[in-house]
Amino acid sequence: MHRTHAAVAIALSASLSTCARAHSVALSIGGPSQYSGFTCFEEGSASVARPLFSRAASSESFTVVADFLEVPINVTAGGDVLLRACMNRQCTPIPGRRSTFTIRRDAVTGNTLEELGASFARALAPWQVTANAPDSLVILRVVSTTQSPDAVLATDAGEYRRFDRASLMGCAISPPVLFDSVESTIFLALPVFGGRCTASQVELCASLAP
Amino acid sequence: MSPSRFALALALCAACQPARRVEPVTVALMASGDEQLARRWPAQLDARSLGAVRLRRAELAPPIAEQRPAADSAMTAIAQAGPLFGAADFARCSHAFDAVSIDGLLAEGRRDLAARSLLWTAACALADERPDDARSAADRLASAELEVPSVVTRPDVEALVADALARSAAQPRRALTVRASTAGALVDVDGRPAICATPCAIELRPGPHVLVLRRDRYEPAITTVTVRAQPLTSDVALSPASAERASAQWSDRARSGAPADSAESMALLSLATSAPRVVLVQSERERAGLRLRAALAVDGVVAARSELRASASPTPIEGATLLRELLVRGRVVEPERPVIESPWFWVAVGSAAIAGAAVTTWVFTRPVETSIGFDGR
Repeated sequence: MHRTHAAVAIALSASLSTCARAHSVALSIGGPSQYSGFTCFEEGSASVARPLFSRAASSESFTVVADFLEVPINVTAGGDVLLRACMNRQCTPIPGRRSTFTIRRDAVTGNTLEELGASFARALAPWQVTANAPDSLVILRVVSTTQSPDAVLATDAGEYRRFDRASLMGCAISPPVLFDSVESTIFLALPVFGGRCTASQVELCASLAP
Repeated sequence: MSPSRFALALALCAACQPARRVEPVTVALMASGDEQLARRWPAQLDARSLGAVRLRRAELAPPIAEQRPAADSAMTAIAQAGPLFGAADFARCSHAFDAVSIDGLLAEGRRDLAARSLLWTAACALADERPDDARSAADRLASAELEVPSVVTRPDVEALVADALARSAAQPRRALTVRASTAGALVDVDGRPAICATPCAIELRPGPHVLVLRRDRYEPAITTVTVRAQPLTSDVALSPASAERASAQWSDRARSGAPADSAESMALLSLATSAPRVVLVQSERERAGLRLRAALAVDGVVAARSELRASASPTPIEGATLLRELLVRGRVVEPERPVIESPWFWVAVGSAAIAGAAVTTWVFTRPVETSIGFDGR
């Protein structure tokens, strides 16, 4: 009898200590009034500019990379202020949390930028960025590149290489967020300083860290 | 202190409590008014209802039978004396009383037989021409102030007795102080019962006297004193009564109508049953059920009394209630400890508090595993 009680108590304690609350957060590309960061253009005049998506024209697939960037400051300001803060290397990627996803190029099609963006978003749907988000305040950055997943994974020293500028296809970030507490959809976007999203802004986003 | 250490400390605290060893206590039970109780309850009331108490039926020792050897021999001698005296066989008449103990007769309270034996002794000795023996018997008759029996003997014998009575009456009574090893013993003097209670002083005619001191819980003490001109003190030691003597004394008290549960009766009952702890339950029938009165004697001293109005046929629960209350009052058993005094209670409370705190902490701090994925729009 006492053994049974003890076993029940131990099992209960073990279950109490290990049972975690499951929670999920949905990501969405672009926002109501934001550039998605994945429908940007090459530098040049608007009339001749090519979308960055065309950089993958000769590839069978491209890679999407997700990083969680630690936010060292108590950020309550808008995305542009945050972007400036991260430009000063105040945001660092959490080691070991980089996640990659490969998308077949022909899975993303469309005659207009809107159709391309929507197709890209559908292609991302099967990807679970992480099963256990960081417990701290972070920024989620998603970069698309023609580089292979191996090329963007950490080196032996545990550091991430800088993205190849010429291979970048798009980039978007989330606002600073504590994913464990979020109950709504998180929008990924790229704040731009001009009226148009260009490759330089994508490069800036992709180079926030490291 | 962390919750686990607190729990460990509680457990150690409980474990360090000295284990209380409960020795079984045997209690003898006697019932009056409803003899069935004394038979049923020891069988019905077990450890579940009375804890460490073992109940047994109290058995009285067989009462000691009063022996009257002096009276028997005196009656035999008296029966022989008449014919022998009539046949002028004075020598055999005198010898017939050789085996008769006047002290014994007086101790047995047979003043009548003592008087007749002394008168015949005087008559036979006088006729057998032993005047000193005859005078001695007459003097004893006079000093003990025995009533002279109306037995026709001879004029010279009557004259001898009358002379002895006159001489005894001429001497003033002398003081005799009687003391005993226990106060309150009743003193019989020359077969006259309960002349006084010790310590006491009495006045007696000079001469030999037989004193018998009686006190419940003690054996009777017989002593002979000879009163002379000077005041005299007699110190008598009483020895404790045997179980058989106590049984007889207890029965005598019960027959006399004395309360069976008085202090003296309970002390006698303890002796008579040879039980250090004895319970007497008396039942009186009332209009609705029984009124049970119980008394507990521990080592002969009443330690507690208890009373209960029970059903017409008292149940074991009623019996256990009555006896448990009695035994607790008499400190034979300890009262049941409130649960709050049990270390295990506090272990349970502590464990519950720890468990509650752990659950609360877990509810508010349990880890969250957040999965992140695209919604495809």
